[in-house]
Amino acid sequence: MTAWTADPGNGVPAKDQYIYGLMCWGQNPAVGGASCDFERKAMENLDWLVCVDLWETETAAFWKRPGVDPTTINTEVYLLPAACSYEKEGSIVNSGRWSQWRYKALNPPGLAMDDLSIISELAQRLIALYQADGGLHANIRYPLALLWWGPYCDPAGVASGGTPHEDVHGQDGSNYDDGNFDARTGLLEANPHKVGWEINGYFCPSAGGGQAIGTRVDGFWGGNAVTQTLQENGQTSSGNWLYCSHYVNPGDANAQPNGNRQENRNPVDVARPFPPPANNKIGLFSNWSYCWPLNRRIIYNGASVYQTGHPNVGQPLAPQKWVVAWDAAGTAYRTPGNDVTDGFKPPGSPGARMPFIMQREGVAHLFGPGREDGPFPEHYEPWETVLTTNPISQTLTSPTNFGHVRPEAYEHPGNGNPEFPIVGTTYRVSEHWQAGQLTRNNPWLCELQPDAFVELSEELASILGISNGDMTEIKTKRSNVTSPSGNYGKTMQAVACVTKRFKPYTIAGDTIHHIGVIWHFGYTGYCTGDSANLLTPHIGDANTGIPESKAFICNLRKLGGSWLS
Amino acid sequence: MMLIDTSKCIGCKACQVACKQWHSKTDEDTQFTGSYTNPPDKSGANLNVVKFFEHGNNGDLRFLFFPDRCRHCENPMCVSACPLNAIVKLPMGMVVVNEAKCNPSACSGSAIKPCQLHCPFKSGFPALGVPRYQYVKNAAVVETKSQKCDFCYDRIHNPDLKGNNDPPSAQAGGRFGGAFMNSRRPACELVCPTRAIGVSSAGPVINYAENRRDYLKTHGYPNANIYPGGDEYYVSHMIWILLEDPTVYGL
Repeated sequence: MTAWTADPGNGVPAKDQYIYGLMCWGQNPAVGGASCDFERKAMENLDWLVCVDLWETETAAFWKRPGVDPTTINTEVYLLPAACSYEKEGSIVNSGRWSQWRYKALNPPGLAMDDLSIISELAQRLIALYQADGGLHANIRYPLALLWWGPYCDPAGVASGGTPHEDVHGQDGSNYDDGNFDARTGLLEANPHKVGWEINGYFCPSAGGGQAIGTRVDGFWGGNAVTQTLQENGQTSSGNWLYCSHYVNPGDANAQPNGNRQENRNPVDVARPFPPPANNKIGLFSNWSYCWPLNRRIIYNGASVYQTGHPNVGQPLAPQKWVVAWDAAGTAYRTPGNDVTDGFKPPGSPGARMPFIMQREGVAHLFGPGREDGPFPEHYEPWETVLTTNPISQTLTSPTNFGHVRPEAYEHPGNGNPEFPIVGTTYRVSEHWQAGQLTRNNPWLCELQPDAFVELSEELASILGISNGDMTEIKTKRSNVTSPSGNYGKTMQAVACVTKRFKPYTIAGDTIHHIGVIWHFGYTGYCTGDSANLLTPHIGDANTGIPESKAFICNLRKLGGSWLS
Repeated sequence: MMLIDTSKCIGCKACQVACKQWHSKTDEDTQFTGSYTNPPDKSGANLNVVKFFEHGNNGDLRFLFFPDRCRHCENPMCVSACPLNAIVKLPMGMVVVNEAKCNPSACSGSAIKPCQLHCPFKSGFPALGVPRYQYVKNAAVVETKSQKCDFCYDRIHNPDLKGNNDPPSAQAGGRFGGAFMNSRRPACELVCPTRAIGVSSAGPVINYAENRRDYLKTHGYPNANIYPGGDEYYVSHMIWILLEDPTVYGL
């Protein structure tokens, strides 16, 4: 196989830097990845590609995409049909740290499987292979070959000395869920509840004291066997300390009967009066789902009270919306707030810490070690810009490292390059979602939005002779790239949407035009179109790496017409 | 009576798709022609089409939305125009096509059928009234019976859906109380995420509409009005609150 990229010449043998294969789980980088023609071309170097998805996506079909000769591509592609979200049971976590349980409405069609079952079967087969013949690399063989399910996913109870464990399922007769051995594969089935137990944590077979084997932990702090938290002596196991207490023992008052706090669905915003009586409904909804860690909804809530040394230590800074509070002595909770208190030692008590307990100094950081950029906002132009000087800063573009993504110099056109005088951005429509796997295979949604389109001002349309509904062509530096690994790049074609919602800008005395492109489209599906990411640069924010690919410079013309000069 | 308060409409098209789903309509051929409205007008496969209008300019630009469907007239011209008596007005007030009697290939020698000709609410090019009997799929014209919004009369009168004798948790809520998807209410009303669509008896609906219109006129929308009919809005069982004069919406 050939190189993913050219030998970087850093002393490490090139063969040890190759990527031989790729697994895409519900991802479609051929459409969703910035500079996506690079993505598509790079995939041609893979030995193998596995796509787990509901449809044959642009990524799965990269080897037969328009303009490519499949006989020149040696990648072996596997398509594993996956279940949709309502065809499987399990948890899903949001950016508010809430983990919510979802239920299964129906079986997936044909041989399509849920992700858990796929990865469980894959892992078990790989482990068996590594145990049998060792594989190529020792640093992969040993950790993989030693993986084993704990007592929950081992129905024979071999690891726990033969004690059988209850099977929580029987929900729909599906062969994938009941934790037994699958008749088709002969392998252990996966069970999302039991995986949850493993992640939550439990007392191990080798315990020798404290709790019964299999007793689930209800926290990570304390190290006291009586309190059923994680131990420091090897008596407990947990997949992730953040989730200790998300799936506790049956009968726990804070959970559903089976102990699953992710299934909690109490929609009441609990309020408690703080003298003078004032119901502080602040939207905690503590009994709806599980919030990591420990169902603590507001992290660092100890910062909401006066700190050690203050005359009102332990009292809320904002009584009308208080979260936690301690009495004047500070040695015991008086009226705990709705939330799980943070810090565990009230302000004013011996051993009390500053409230930002995960920071070394105990205070929040505006800027500090680990930050690439900060602390104060500054307007920098994007990585590529139509300007050559910044009207409101001494510095044109950010001087920091652009995160971990690949800002290749040969994809940069030069700021102010007259070949790309228009500012471009990308965005979405209601009718389609992400790279379009689910929506561009739905006839009703394709009826609503059948084509990729570009929005431009009436003024720019007039200059370029473009009418509503005309086909246009858009280019950026990514449309024609010469790189050490080979050439790539395409322009994008999109239908024009001439709109009052765009207006030209006047910046530093010049008229600057702005266009917006819809990015959901690709070459597979019920409705197809060009991908906007053919245009975008592979840039990430300096601190977070989040793609900063929504501001770039481009040019536009009516198909067959002239570019803006 | 149904009210569509376009001041709350966000142009999401959930009502357009829910209507298709309940009536088992297929997708027709469309292409992007420079507007978010798709398909461009009602057809034999689309009984409720959300129409988009950009109005004003610069600081005063507004994106206006109009879910376009049958007005369910109090005195329906289509009922009297149909030579086959295939359109009826039901006791509750909605106007419904009886597909057993409807026969577009036999009711008229003209491509524009009597129901389309006499309906006063015309749209499209050429201008046609609300009922439609054709759509285009895979580049071929498909003919249907005369199709138009039927107020989901088969949901409203459906004993298999939850109604007033069912437990409170399963019942349809009041006009603004929310309702479950298995309620005896039109599909569009149930899916609207902003509750811009509501059904109740005429009295409460008109009362709400008048108050809402008056509020909007003094809060940024001086041209807010009730359509159709202007001040004579007992003319139909489907009414809208528009934010601008009807001519802005092509009405």
